[in-house]
Amino acid sequence: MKFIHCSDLHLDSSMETNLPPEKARQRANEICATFRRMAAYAAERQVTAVLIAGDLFDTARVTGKTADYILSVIAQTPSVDFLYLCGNHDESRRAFAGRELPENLKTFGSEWRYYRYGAVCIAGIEPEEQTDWYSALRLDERETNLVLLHGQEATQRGPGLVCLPQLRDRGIDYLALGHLHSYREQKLDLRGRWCYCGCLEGRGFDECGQKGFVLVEAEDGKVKTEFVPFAKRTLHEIPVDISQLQTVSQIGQAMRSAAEGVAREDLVKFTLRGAFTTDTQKDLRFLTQTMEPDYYFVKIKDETTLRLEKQSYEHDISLKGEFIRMVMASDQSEQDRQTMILWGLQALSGEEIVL
Amino acid sequence: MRLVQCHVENFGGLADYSCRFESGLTVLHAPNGFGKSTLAEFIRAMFYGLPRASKTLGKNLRKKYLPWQGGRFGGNLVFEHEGVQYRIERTFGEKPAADTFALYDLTTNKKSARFSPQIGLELFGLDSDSFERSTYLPQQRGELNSFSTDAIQAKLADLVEDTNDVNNYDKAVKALREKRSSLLAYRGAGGSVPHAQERISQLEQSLQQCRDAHTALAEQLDREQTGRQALEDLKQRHRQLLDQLRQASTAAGKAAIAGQYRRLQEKKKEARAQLDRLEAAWPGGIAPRQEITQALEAMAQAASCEPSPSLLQAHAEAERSLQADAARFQAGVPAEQEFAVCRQNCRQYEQCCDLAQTACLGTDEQTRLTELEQFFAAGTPDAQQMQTIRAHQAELTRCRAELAATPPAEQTPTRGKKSPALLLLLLAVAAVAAGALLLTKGGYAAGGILLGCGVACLLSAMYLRLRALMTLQQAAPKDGVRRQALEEQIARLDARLQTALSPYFGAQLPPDAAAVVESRAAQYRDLLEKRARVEAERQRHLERAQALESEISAFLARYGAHAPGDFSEQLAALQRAADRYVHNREAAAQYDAQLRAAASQLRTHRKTVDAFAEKYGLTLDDDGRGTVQNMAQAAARRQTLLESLAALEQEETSFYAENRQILDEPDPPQTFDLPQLQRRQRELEAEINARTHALTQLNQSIRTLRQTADQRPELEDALAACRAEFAEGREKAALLDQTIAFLQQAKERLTTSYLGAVEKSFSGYLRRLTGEAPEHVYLDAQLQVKMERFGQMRELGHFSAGQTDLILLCMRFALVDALFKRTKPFIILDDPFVNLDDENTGQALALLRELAGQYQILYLVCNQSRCA
Repeated sequence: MKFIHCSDLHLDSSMETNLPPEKARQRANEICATFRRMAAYAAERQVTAVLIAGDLFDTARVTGKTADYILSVIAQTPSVDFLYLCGNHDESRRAFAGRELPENLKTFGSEWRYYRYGAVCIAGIEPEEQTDWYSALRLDERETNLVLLHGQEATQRGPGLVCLPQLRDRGIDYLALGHLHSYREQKLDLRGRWCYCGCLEGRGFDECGQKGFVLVEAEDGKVKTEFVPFAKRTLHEIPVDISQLQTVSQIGQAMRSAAEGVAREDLVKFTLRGAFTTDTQKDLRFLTQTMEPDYYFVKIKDETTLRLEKQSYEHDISLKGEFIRMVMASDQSEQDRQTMILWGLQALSGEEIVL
Repeated sequence: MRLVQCHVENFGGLADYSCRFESGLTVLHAPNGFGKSTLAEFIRAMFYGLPRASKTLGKNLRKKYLPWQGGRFGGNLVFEHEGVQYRIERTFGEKPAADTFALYDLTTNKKSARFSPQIGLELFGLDSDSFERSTYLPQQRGELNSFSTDAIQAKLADLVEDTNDVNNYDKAVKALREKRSSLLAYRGAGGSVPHAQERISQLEQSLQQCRDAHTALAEQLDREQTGRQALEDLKQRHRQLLDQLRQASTAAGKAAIAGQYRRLQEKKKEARAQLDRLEAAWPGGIAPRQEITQALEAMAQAASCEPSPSLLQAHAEAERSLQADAARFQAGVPAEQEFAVCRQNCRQYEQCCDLAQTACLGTDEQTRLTELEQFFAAGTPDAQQMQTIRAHQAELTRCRAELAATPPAEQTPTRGKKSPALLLLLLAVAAVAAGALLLTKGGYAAGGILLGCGVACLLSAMYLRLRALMTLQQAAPKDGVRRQALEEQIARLDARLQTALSPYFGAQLPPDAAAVVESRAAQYRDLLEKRARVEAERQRHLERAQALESEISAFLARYGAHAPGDFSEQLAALQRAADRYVHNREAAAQYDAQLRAAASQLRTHRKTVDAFAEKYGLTLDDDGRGTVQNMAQAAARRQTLLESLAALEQEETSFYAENRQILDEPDPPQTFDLPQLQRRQRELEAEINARTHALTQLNQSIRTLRQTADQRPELEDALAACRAEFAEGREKAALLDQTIAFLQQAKERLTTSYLGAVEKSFSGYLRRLTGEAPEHVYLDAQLQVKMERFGQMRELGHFSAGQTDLILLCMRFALVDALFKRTKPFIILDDPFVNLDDENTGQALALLRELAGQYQILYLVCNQSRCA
């Protein structure tokens, strides 16, 4: 018997990638489309149920269109049950309010709810923190038990936390968790494992790497898991050291070399690092424009520092030297000082001031 | 600090060159091309090294001073600092990495770490460029002399402000301000930051609407959920009510079924009673429908077998008509063939009469015949007479023609004709006259020729005339005799013709009298023959008509139909009478047959009716048919009653079978008031409808609110982007403001730091050199020197090159005073006084000597006159 464990789709959430509005909308639609693909995958592989471990939607941003779409996908996949647990960002009840829920959409509540498929029992709860919901869990150890929760794994109780010690030796074979956006799987106790499947699609550059779901196979009391990369696009953060580079073409070449192997449909964030001099051709706009055709989206973050040797300006009796000395003596942040020096020098040398 | 000596191994054009420096003024007098500037650059390179290679030769000192002759690139320099002598040894490679540096303390002759390779910076506190700009005064080159004021002024200004700084400060500030304005305008609401702020306001407003919609949506959804729950409750109550209604309806239905069953039984009973009453009214029984029908048919057919009055009347009329024609056709009716023959005879008779009437000549022919009978009243000439007349006529014609062809005797054949002789005569006269005229005029040759021609023509004319006269004289006697004979013959023939034709024409004969007579005689004979043929034909038709008339009259008379008049009409009347007679005879026979058949059928039908009446005990009087018809109605009614009874019995059986369970059950106690339940149902349904309608409206409102609320993600994202743009723009604007402020402060500080000291030293040097009063000299913040002349401050451009050089020399020393506070540097002057006159040169050299006590000066000069 197969199950899909997914979570944290955050439909209708804002894209944290600084995508332009058009691409942000396209990306949001792609996440919906990935959900449909996953449903089709489940139907094709004869998956019994899809376990959604929370944060299907994002706070109050869920639109009627998206809610309708998700319900239609679920309704059009009648052979698969969708067990949907609300997360801390979900407002599913609001999202689905006033709508007829498909029969194959199962939900959970503030008390443990159990769904059984043969010898497999799936339990889930959307706990209210003041209750001792851990002790309320009742599992038959003769069954294969899958437990669905949303929260940060922890060793203590608390709001939004999943206290793992409280769930040990309770007969859990697989603890399907949602909340963290990267895949993690570890041993829970002698019997079971806990697992964050991660988000289905990365939305920001804090969600780089492969994203997808976990395929759980329960057979003869044993549970096998497999992470299935399923995202349409992958996000990459690639550091590039430009300390030894002078020209914009050298920097561009270094970026391309660093991004070798990255697929064209992916989103890439280059982080420029190292020190640069006033002579370094570090034109981020130009670099972005030249890299954009190679990927779905390109973002360049500048973490470089201006290499300004003290001896080069300390005794320079000139306006430039005096300017640098004054700026360096100011109580501005290091980054602001660098920015002002860079702008001042660009202005004095008649170059384009790159804001 | 003091230079002691230097040794150039190889540096540019200098090779293995040593020089020792005085503590004060060192004058190096050497010709042009010696390498004075190279030596100055060597000294600087010893302290500062050589910079990285540059692309341009002017800035690429490594390339510029690469030893011309090869060899080790570099040398050494000995200087004294704080009482200790040091030797700098430097060699230079193509790149800085290949450079070597060594510093020796000459007190111990060991390497010293007192200074690093940046010894110049460490000693003087100035970088290489600043050191060069302040302590090295180059020779005035030709192009500089022409505008020395600006060039040197700019170079002096570079001491405190980098060349690019000076040129670009204003541009830099302007560019920064423009950037700042693009973000946040200094005036007005321009720039991306206010734009973003405005957009933020709009977005916040829209977002607030979304949030309001979202709040309202939540409320509406709660209401919708409550309403839906209430509706569900109502529906539940409605379902319960329907159950009660069903129970009540079941009870009512059972009662209705029982009532219906009772009504069925009553109807059956009533039908049975009616049937009994009907059968009692017919004690002999009610005949089956078929028998009644047969009896009625027999009665109807018996009635129809009675001969009708019209038949009897027609029969009588036919008999009467037969009786009337019986005498005429006693011997029989003529056959059709006889009628046909008689009709043929009648037509032939009429044709013969018509042909006899039309057999005569036409009117024109009769008139012509009459005219010809009058013309030939004297008789018609026979053939011999006509042949004679024609012979005379032909002979007369011939004689007249011959007479006409024979000319009379007194006539000449040439009369009336133009003779050739006459023409020749006229020509001869003309030629002779012309010849004579020419001869008189002296034209003898032409006149002779013409005269000759005239004579020739004259002779020819005479010959022709003579021959004609001779011909006439020979023909005249023969023609006269012939004409006379002919005229006599003509007279005879005319007389004979007159005799033969005068009976027809009288005395005056027409020219073609013989032909006319002959033609009319032929025509007369033809008309006479035709009249004879027509008369014979008429006689033949008349005879045929008489024969036919006899035959027709005999036929008509045989049937008593002959009478004077038209045979055809009589014959037609006879035929009509014969036809009528035959028709009447046949009709009478037919009527007889009909009357006999009717009598036979009448007897048969009456027998059937009598048997029917006897069987059912009926007395059939005159209205027997009415009795039978009543029985028929009774039979139909009985049949209807029987069928109705059977149907009722069937219905009763079926109904009982269908509702046996209900009919056999005891009646349930009535627990529901059905009308009340129905009223309650109507009320509930109205309430459900109202709530459903309210929910529909609520859902419509929810949809509308959701449309507004659904814009929230997009608006939030846009707002976040706008806020980020706004914050970034504002931050950058602030940073730009600070950058501009720092730039302005740096400039002001730089200017004020050095300006006072420079101004003070400059005034001192200038007074010592030129005696110029300090109040007459003005140094502005840009280190531009202005001097008062004739009550007005004037820029250096108004002064001579020599004066300017002196001023700038003072300026240079003033700057050195100001710039080098800690360590007094050496000053290198590369023949700077080329523009000065002797007096000014003397003053400048005097100043140098004076300053030599204060500074170590290396004065490079190529001209003996400018040696200090």
